[in-house]
Amino acid sequence: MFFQVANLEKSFGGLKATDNVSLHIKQGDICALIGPNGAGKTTLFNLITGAIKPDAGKVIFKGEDITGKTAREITRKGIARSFQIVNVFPMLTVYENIMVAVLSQKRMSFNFFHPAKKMAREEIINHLENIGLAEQADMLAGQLSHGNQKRLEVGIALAMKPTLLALDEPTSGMSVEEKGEILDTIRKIIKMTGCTVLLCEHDMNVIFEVSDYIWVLQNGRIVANGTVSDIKNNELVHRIYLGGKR
Amino acid sequence: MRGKRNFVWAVGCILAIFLLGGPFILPNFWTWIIIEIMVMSLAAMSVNFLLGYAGCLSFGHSAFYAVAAYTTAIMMTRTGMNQYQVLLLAPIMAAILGALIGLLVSRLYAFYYAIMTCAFAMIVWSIIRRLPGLTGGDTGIVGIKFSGLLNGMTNIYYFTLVVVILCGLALWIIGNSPFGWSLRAIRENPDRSAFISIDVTKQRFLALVISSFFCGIAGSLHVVYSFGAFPELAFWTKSGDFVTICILGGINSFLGPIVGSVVLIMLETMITSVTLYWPMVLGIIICAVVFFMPEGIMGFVKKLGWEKVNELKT
Repeated sequence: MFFQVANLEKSFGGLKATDNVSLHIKQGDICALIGPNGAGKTTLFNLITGAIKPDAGKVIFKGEDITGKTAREITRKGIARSFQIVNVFPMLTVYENIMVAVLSQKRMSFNFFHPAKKMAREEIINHLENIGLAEQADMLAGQLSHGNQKRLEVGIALAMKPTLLALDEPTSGMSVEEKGEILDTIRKIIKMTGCTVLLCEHDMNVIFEVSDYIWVLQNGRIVANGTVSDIKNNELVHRIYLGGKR
Repeated sequence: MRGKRNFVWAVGCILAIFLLGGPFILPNFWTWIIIEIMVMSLAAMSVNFLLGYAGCLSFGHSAFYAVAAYTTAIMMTRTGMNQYQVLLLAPIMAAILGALIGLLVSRLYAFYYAIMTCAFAMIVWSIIRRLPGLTGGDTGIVGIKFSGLLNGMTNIYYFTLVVVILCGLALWIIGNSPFGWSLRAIRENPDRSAFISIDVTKQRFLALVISSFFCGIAGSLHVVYSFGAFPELAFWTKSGDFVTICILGGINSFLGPIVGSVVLIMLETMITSVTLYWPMVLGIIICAVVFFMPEGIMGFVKKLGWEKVNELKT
């Protein structure tokens, strides 16, 4: 299995944010994680990407146990993530945001003598074009519109050349048109890079449009899983998430 | 735009003539002042390497400065070591101390970092005072003689000028390397930096070691121009001077620490000759600068529309 989570647990005080969660992702799939507010989606993302350590359970990536490894190590192994709440380098320009990621991905962080601005230019500009921010390259990231910051957010993750891309609500806080645009961008990039995607999203239209397989989370537990049509027809999912009966 | 460029060229040429011809053009008093400014600039640049690039506010640089100064003074007075080897050994000692302190503080942020580094400086200060046999205690070590290239005002001046320019270039190159940019990423967002595989603690540790090395060079140059080493060099207010200079000049500019030390030492020198209450006058001026130029003098220059200054940002 490409990516697998087994019996993962995490509590905060008395709250079980992740309760015996097991899921798996096939290589090349776009896999979605859905659930109401407070279901534990972001916590699960944090556990998978090393932002926090699980109390119990295992995370296995390409046959390797990566449970409890640091964010840096996990990113190095090929799992990059974007954040629900914009988390970029605000006082660096858009170009520089991508540049620091690209140089780190190339393991250049201990190069003390080469001018960074002259390195990997083509690759950086390529990334900028892919996420549609080439024109804003010289703007400070903190001055971009929210939508563009979310694009940059995805761009930084992509610059790490991940084999598993974890996107935590890439469209949150966006208008309908913006959502459409960024989804097109993401789909284009996925097709181009061939990376596997774990997507966490609120908007059901988005989910049904892009995903191959869906996992439903409620109160920290996986309550359903299946293809788009399975989930669309699942009574339980309708009751807890899609609001009432069909 | 053209007028501005001409102005910069004119100012640059005048400065270059003054710097190159210093000891032959200026009275001795001002030559010594310029030497002091150059050494202070280097120390402040090393502090700003941490502050401006990595976002680490260190109040411990007086320790590196003093350790290098005392290494120089002790080796010069007690051993027959070649003076150039001593000048190389001193910053290495400072860097070793930087590494030791770095092991303990590199995981800390903001004022925890400032307070911890300050505490280490105070430890070094008290050790220096408690070891009179080695360090001369409160009186320090005085009357250190150098020879050859380091003998006489003119020689000291040019030696200092060359060393400071070379160190400045080195800091500039490191600051604009991928390493320097990883420090900026950490300054901006340490949490996200981990998610682009930057080893945050290690990079901050290395930044402190590099910074302490260059501060050590300034510390040993201090001995060259003042012929002595004193415990006050390790006192935390010395670090305070470095930080003040960075803030005054602008921490977001590579030239900030240089501009800051020119302004601070010039003011200090001129006001001291007018009134005994110079610290008060200086305090008021610094308050005014911080109030009206929150990004320091270089930040203010940038605001006036000097876009080229942007290219020098840390």
